[in-house]
Amino acid sequence: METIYQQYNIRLSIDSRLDQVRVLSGALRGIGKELELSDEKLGQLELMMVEAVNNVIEHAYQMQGGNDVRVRVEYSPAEVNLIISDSGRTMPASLHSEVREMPDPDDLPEGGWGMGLIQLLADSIRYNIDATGNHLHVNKLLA
Amino acid sequence: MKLSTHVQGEFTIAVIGETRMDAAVAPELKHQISQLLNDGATRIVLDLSAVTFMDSSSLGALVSLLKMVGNRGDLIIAGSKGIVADLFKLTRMDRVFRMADSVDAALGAVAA
Repeated sequence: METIYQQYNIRLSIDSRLDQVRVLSGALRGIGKELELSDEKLGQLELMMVEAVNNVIEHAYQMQGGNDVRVRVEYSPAEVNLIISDSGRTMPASLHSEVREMPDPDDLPEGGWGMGLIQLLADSIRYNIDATGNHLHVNKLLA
Repeated sequence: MKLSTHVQGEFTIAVIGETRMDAAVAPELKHQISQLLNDGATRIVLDLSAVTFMDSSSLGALVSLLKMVGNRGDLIIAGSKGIVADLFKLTRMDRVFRMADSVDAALGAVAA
């Protein structure tokens, strides 16, 4: 029998500790395999999610555990939206509303790639703040 | 983090025995490889063929190791594939590291 995929809206959350991120990755991979995403798309989604979650832990929560990092995975056959939410420090507008230049490789950078990678891999991104916290919306088309 | 090493000619081959290199393991990765450098290894091939996921924190750790090696030796990245290879390309760090398809290719390229 042919499987007919509908829409899914899956909510995950972890404590704000870097050692928790691998479990979130595992959950996303499980979701992606169940929904028959290609290895390429799934790898890109995982990298975007991990970079966003690392940013939340490192910058929004300043490496303090005990806070909630929430990820919503919205799937339809045409696209995946990842919404990464936190209740910590708000991301500076320059990081999400302007095109991020990647660090110059010749400078031998040891960081600063996160948002640039997300911008390169996503079809669109959006950041908003409301009463429940900060939300980074990452859109990836599947077609 | 699982890391096994063996010596092949002038090279120390360091094989990452994990499928994942992320921010949680990046400090340990840096510590273990820098230990190899402190122990006198100067020409290192880092075999990433088992690694299926790597984030930019681990890439940053590799860059700091590349700086430690400096012009005293080599740090060759071997066997990256999929999103791991893409990470090097997207950040353009594939221009900075010596990249090889496999450990054998890395050793062959150096010997050639």
